[in-house]
Formats: sequence, structure tokens, C-alpha cells
Amino acid sequence: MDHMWKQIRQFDNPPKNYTFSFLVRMNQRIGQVGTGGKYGMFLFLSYSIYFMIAVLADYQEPAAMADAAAAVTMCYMFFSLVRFTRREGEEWRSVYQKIMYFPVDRRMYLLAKLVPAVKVIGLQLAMQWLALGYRVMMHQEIAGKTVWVLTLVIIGSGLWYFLTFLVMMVWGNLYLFPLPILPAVCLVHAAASYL
Amino acid sequence: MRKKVIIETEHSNRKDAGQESFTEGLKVENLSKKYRNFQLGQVNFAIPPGNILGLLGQNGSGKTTTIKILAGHTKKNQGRIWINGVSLEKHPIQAKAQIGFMLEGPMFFENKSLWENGKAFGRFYPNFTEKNWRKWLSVCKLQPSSWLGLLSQGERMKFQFAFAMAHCPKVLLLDEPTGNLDPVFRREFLDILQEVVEEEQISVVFSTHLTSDLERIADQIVLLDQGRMLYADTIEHMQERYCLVKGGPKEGRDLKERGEPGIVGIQISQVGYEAMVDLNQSSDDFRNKIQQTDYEYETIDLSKWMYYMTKGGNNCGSYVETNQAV
Repeated sequence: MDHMWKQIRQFDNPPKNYTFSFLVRMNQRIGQVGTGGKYGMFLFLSYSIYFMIAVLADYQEPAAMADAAAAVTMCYMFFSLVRFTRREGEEWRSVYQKIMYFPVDRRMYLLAKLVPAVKVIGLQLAMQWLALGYRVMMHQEIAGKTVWVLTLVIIGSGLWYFLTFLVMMVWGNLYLFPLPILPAVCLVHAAASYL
Repeated sequence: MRKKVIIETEHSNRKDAGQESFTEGLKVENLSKKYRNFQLGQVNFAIPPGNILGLLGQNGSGKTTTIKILAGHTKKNQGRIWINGVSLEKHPIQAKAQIGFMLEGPMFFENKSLWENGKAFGRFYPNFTEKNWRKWLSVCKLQPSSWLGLLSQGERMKFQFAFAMAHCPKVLLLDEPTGNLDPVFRREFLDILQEVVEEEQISVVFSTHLTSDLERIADQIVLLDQGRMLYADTIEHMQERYCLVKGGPKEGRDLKERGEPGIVGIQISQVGYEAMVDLNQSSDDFRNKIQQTDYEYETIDLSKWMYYMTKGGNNCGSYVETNQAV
């Protein structure tokens, strides 16, 4: 069981050929190691914008912020899970379709995707709470209910998109990836407006 | 209800497949799979270690479905499968770790090198080693640094064979492996396959349309037609049981009119006839006449046998008429 989990984690995150060097910048320039790559840059920029919005948002009417939190969580979840897919020629395939041929525990393979999903939800929560913390430090009180709503929205929308993306991976039709976002945002908006 | 054929081999250096409960090799019992417009039913066979089973059939007869079920990729509806004594249903991971395959399908990473692909998927096989991987890439004349996506169909087949052999499988599932190979490597491939099967005592399922390949290497054959298993036995037994009878067009028409039992199929043209006879089903009188060379008869090859079995539907007395010269 542990052995299979370890194999799957190694398969998902193969070790990079990193050559240690005191010349860190040399490694970054030549080896493209340690820069975080396009994904890291995208994450940094998008979260900078999100953080600014979260700090400046109007928390008296939390529906708009809840919508934004849900949409960002789901988009980030997509970008985190999309690395378990491959663009091959004209086809967009999930790695799950590949491992079906090999001696891999399929359920455990899907379960292992929970690790990046939890990281996404954790990062989003951290970012949201940090923004809320800033607001409190600026003496702009935020209702406890709003904090709970935002927390639940982030966890709920993250898990919803995680599960729907897993279904798409197993089904093999990845082109439907934007579809789960819209009903989730509508639902979040309705629930946040009601509360 | 077809009777179950117990397979026996005559090779002295190979184990006897006739025993009912061997723990090694591959054993399939009552395998069936239902799709909306296709049904694979009641497939039974057993391959002892060191034997090659040829899976024959027309397009859409169920060969690839059978192989994909054996590979653990597709789920079956009924039946039991043992890989080297390990049940595929109860212990799928352990069973699949003993299988090597050559299949059409997107199972490897197209955007990675052969070496990286081997390292990525090889970690799931306990017997996979980098040394073996390098050796088999070299045997198949493949560059480890080549990108999989840039390989031709034939080279992909070589790559899959190299990967399969690098983890020392006990069962090899080959789905039309030689179809895309050039004649030179095809011959080499068959030689290598025969050699490793003997040396490593691997059980092989070899699905193909190229009957000449099977005649060269197969110990047993299974014939599938529209999802049904028509025949399972050794090639030698098949050739003992079936033969070709030839003659003039008048004799052919007489045979047809008489409705001679045991005739699986007959082709009559203006210049003559050719009929495949099942000696087990034919009358004693007809068999005696054939053996006393009243009829011109010859040993049947696999391609003709397959043609009559599938066209004639395995029902004695079914006729195939043609205007083409036979």
C-alpha cells in the first residue's frame, strides 16, 4: 500500500535532474531550474491581483467576493490538475488513461490527486485569511459570518472542481473542463446573497 | 454447446498444456464481454510457459477485446483469468506486473524520450532494471534519446517490445505486433521472440492476420469469429483434422448435391472445386475414399483454414460458391 503510494507520488512528481551549484543564478539561467517556471510566474501574478482585490473588496456585500473566491479557486485547481493530462498531437489525454494499462492501483492514483488539491485549497484559504487579516489590521472589521462563508465557499468550490475534473479524467473527455465552473459560481452567488 | 478442447503440445522441451490446473502461464476460463453491438463469449484457453498461442480472426472478431481484457485494461463481464497462477480479478496489480504487452493505444508519453518513458512506467514493475532497459533498446535498435512522438508505427512496436522485455514478463500479449514492421526486423523479431519464449519460459498470446507468422512460431491457435471461439488446438492437430480436397467442377457439384457431411466449405468454379473437409465429422466411407486417394487432397494452411472456418461458419455442409478459379 505505502509502496504503491510512493510509486504514484514519484510518477506524478519525477525528480528533476538538478545539479548542485553555488552559482544559483547560473543554474537558473542555463538549467531553467529554481525559477518556478511559467506556472510559478502565473501563480505569483494572479495571486498578487487576487490579494489586492481581496484586501480592497467590500465585505458588507460578500456575494461578489464569494464569486471571485470560488472562480479563482476553481481556476487554480484546474491549473494544478492539468499537469496530470497531456497534449499529444491533436488529442488531449489524461494520464489516468495511460496508467490503466500498467500495474497501478487506479483508486489510489486518483486519491493521490488529493495532495495537490488540498494544497490549492490551503493556499487559497491562506491568501484569503491573510487579506482578511490585513483588513482587520486596518481597523475595518469583517463579520464572522462572512469569514465562514468565504472559507466554506473556497473549500466547497475547490472540492467540487476537484471531483468533476477527476470524473472528466476517468471519462476521458477533458474538453468539458470549463463547464463545472459556471454552475458552481451561480450556486455560490445565490447562497452568498441569501446569507 | 461447443466441447472444450484440451490442448496438448508435442514439443518435447515444452510443458504439457493438457493438465487442467497448472499454476504457471496463462489460463482463461469462460471469458465474456458484452458491448452494445458486440459480444465476446465463452473464450477458454490455457497457455503453459514457453508456448505461443496464435489468436486468429477477422477484423472485429474480438481479438483486441480479448487481449485488452487479459491486459487488465478492459473489464470483463464474466470469466476468470490467471496470470502465472495469480488471479487477475483478486490481485490485479500483482498479475499485471507479470504481463508485457504490445498494443495499439496511447499508453506512453508522446512528448518524452524513450528512456524517460521507460523510467516513468518501469517503476511500477518490480523486475524492471535500467540495465535491462538499455539492453533491450539496443537489441531493438532504438536510440534512448529519441522522442516517442517522432517514431514510426513500426518503431513504436519495437519500443513496446523492448519495454515489455525489460521488466521480464511471464506473459506477453501481442496485438498485431508484426503488421507495421519492415520485413527484415519482422523476421528478426520472430526469431528473438521464439528465443526469449524458450529461454525465459514466457507464455505468449500473439494476435495477427498474418497467418504465415503463426505457422512459423505458434504452438496453439484460437480462432475467433464474431466474438465466438470457433476453435482451439495445436496447428498439428488442426492439420490432422482438416484437409483440402480438390477435383473437377462436376465432382464438386456432386459433392454439393449429396450434402456430404464433414465438408466445412466448398468453392466451385468453372475449372474445378476445392473443399475443406473436417475428417472428424465426415462419414467413414468418405474418409476412406479420401485416404485411399480417390480424391486429390492436400494439407491445409492456416489462411485457407481460417477462410473456410469463418466463411463456412463451422457448420458442416455450409457451402461457399464462387466464380473465381480456385
